[in-house]
Amino acid sequence: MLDKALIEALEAVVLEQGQPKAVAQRLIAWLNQASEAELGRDDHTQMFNNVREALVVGTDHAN
Amino acid sequence: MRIDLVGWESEGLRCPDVRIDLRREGKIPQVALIQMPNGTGKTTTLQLLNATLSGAAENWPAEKVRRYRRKHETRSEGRFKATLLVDDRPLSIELILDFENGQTRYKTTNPGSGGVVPRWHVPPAVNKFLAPQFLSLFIFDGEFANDLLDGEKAEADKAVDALCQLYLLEEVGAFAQDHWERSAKAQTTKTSAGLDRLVEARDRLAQRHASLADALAKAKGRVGGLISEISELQGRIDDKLTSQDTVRSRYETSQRELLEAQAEVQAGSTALMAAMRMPHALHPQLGAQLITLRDNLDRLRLPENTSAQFFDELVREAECICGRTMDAAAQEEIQNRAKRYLDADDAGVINNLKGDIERFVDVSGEEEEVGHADVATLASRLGKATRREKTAEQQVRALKQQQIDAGDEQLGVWQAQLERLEADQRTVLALIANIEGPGDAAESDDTKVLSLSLLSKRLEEAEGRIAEITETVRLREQSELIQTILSRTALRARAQIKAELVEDCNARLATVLANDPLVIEGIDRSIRLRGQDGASVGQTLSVGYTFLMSVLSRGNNDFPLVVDSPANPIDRGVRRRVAAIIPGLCSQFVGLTINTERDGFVDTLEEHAPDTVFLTLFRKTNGTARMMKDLPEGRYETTETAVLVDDRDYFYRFDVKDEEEDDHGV
Repeated sequence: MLDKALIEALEAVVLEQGQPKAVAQRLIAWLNQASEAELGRDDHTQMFNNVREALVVGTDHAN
Repeated sequence: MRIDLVGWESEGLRCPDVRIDLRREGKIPQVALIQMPNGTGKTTTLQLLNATLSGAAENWPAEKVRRYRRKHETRSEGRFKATLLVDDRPLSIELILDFENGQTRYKTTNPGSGGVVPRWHVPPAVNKFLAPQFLSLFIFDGEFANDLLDGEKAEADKAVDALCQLYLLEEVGAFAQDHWERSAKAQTTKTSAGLDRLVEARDRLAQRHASLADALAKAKGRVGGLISEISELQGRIDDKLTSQDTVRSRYETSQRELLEAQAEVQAGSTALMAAMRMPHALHPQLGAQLITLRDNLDRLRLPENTSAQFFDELVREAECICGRTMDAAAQEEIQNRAKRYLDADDAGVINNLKGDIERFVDVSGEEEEVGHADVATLASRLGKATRREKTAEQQVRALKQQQIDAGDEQLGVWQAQLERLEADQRTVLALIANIEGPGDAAESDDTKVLSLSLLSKRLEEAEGRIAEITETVRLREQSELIQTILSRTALRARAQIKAELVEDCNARLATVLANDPLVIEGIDRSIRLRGQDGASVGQTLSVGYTFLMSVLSRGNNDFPLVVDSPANPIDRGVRRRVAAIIPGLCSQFVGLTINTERDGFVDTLEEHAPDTVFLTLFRKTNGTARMMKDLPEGRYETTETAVLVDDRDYFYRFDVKDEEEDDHGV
């Protein structure tokens, strides 16, 4: 379980960055996984791609 | 979560062989003191306790493993086992050090989930609390409290980061960065500006492709028009010449001759091209060279991917392909020898090449000569046809010129017009040939490329590269955004947690230091006190212990505090004050002490924690032999290397001389 202050800070920053709530949720899921077990490269990659799918960046707007 | 330290066992290591059990009547006492004279392995014990609980020894280099071997020890392995209670459920982790191979391994015993596992394996909920960053907070030496207030160190920040698991933000951010770097390693263009330049280049290519396609269509239309114009003009010239009796017959003959010669050149070219497709027919020496090439290529090789199965199936047959019975010896021999004949996939291509050389080239010398003679004959025939065509053209041109010279101006105008049209036709046909041809792949300037197929290929490559780089640029943007979010989260969370910790610590300090008020102003790398630059040793320890326990108990977690020489550097008065607050700060305090810490610290601690356990551990050496006579009856255990006494009075009267401390046999 992540520290409450960390979760609150993450949610606030994601909002400030104009990103969807799913970004915060997926980052929290990733951090939770990392806190509970040693993640291998494949695990990290999967969690990273989950977050990427939720992100909205400049290239997406251009496309 | 509550974690209690039940005890530990060590065997064959630099610290003495001993089994420490802190429980009394099944319960964990709030305070346990283990008196260990200098040289008994206090530091080693804490290092091994940390390594065992964290699993950190898995990656120890061989020399570090061997460093824990006791001098003159003959056993090939050393063992250290730590036992915890995690929310009252036992969890044991054993670290085994293999001195011969310089390796370590773990064994975890967790009766609640899975029993004994031959590796470091703790329940996920406990995992984060046994991380090395976290363990260093509750297994440390007495000077750690000083470091928390030392402005030149950042121990307080580190403690907060470990507690909040802010290191996870860094870890995940580092992965995002690493993932991007690995993905973009092969890419030369990684920025939006670079991508824009590629898109512009792609657009220019597309534009040129479109204009060339347009030019091709126009050129083909123009060729059609020119053919009609030439045909119509040629018809008029023919009519004009054939209408005059004086030249009609000669003109018709010359025209016929020209057409026949042109047909002969066409047929001769086709036949010679077909004959030249056999390279060995071009020259007799080429055939000989091809045979030499064949003889120098690998022999008896088969492509493995298609031929390995053949040998597998062959050994299952009753007979070999040579007709002999397929017995066990033959099977084994074939399986062993098959490897000699199997090669990469291109062995198949080489075999085909060898087959073709044998089929087409390796013929008798006579046949070889015939092939070459055919080519020579065809080339000679084509030469003759070409000369005939040229002569016929000259005859036709001469007849026309003759008429023009004789005053036929109209014919002169038509002939000049025809030559212009034919020149235009050649130019347009050449343009079409260029546009439809393969083009020069070496031409790097796209604006000079005339070939549509080459431009299409480059356009396709550009599209592919843009798609690839778009993904790379997108990945970069995403990675940077993730890192920004994580780093800003760390700043915000750290500030919030520090504010909460300051409030919590000050509330505790108001109680434990009621007669000696002290307020924490803030945490900025280290703990900053309000209204004072420094602090006495006692204040430092009080603030340090208070901060640490506030950090460790955050989130309703209770952890043991295991300290090496907790009161060694402080005077008696301060020892009393610190000892008085310790039982109120943590659920379990385990101190590895020396006899000089008893005065002021141990006695005060006992006053505030009546269930304190007193253990005394010393090595069995020549120097400590005298102590063996004074052991309390039934209150001690001995091992090959040490004596452990579980007795309060013995703890207080235990004393060693310098020579006994020095003679610890480490």
